Amino acid sequence: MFKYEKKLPYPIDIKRKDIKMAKFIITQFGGPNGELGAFLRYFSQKFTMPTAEGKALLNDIAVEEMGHCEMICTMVTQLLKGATVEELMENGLSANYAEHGMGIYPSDSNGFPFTAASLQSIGNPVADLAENMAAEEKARVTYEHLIDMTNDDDLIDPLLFLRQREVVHYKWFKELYKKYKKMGY
Amino acid sequence: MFINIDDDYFLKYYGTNESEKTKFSSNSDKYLDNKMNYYSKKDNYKKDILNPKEGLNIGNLFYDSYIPYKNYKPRELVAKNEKEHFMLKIQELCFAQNDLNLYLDLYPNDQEMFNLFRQYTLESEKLSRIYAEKYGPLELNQDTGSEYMWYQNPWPWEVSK
Repeated sequence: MFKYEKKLPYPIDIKRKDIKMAKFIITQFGGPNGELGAFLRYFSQKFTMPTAEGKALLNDIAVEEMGHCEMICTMVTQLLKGATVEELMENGLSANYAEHGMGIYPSDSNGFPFTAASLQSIGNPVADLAENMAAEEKARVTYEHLIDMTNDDDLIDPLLFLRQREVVHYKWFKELYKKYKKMGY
Repeated sequence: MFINIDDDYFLKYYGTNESEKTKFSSNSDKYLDNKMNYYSKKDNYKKDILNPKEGLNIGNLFYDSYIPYKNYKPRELVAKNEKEHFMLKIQELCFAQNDLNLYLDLYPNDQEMFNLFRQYTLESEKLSRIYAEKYGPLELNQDTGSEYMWYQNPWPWEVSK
């Protein structure tokens, strides 16, 4: 089971409203390389990992990704704080407002809803881990794109943190991949 | 002013003993400090392992695998008040615990690293309990005071003013 902790993994305090960045950052919640997909990918795969270390790693990274979902949604919430409907319309969120109002909805930057079609769980540990290595690299690059698009340090710091977590997860997935490959999977 | 939780007095005086707690608050000025060198004594387990504060700042406890982006360098995390200071310490310790957790999943027999994991786990649990008493529960099972506190604002996505 899961227990909620009433805190973020990394502090977020964004003071400057930035509707455009909110529109872009939401993709790391509901987009193809986002944290929700990462959670579901590793959570689903853990059930067919062959060794204790594999089950543990997939489980623990999955849980960490849930915390990252909350970080992304926190950033979007704070970036949109105080925004008027007119401002949303001027900054590319008209369609989003029509569909979701001020609600936080898991979609990519274009408004395309979250889909599990962007992730895979295929029941073979090396194939799953190769998928995960690719997923972490794509998420890392997405964070780099987002960092390129802003000059607000309140936003850049948590994005750098999340990007670095992708680097770390990639490293462990790669090590486990190599171990399983050696074991003949 | 911050309570110095950067030295051993902090955990000692915030033990389970009620009278010790009172002693701490009445003498707290003695321990006020913002040097944040709490972890420095314990840094030498392995030389490429950062302390929890540095680790949280860059998102990676294992400096040899840190890959920066371009020339970006995250600013140092700074707390604005005592509540934030407590929270930041908890976040640092939980971060270190989490990163060691992933390492230990693949290297469960590294006793030296497990000792470090255990130390940070115990410290974060202690601090979390102190935080819960002062500011409200971080976990549901800490909500054991005289009234229900869990639902109260702020939630983590809200900036507390």
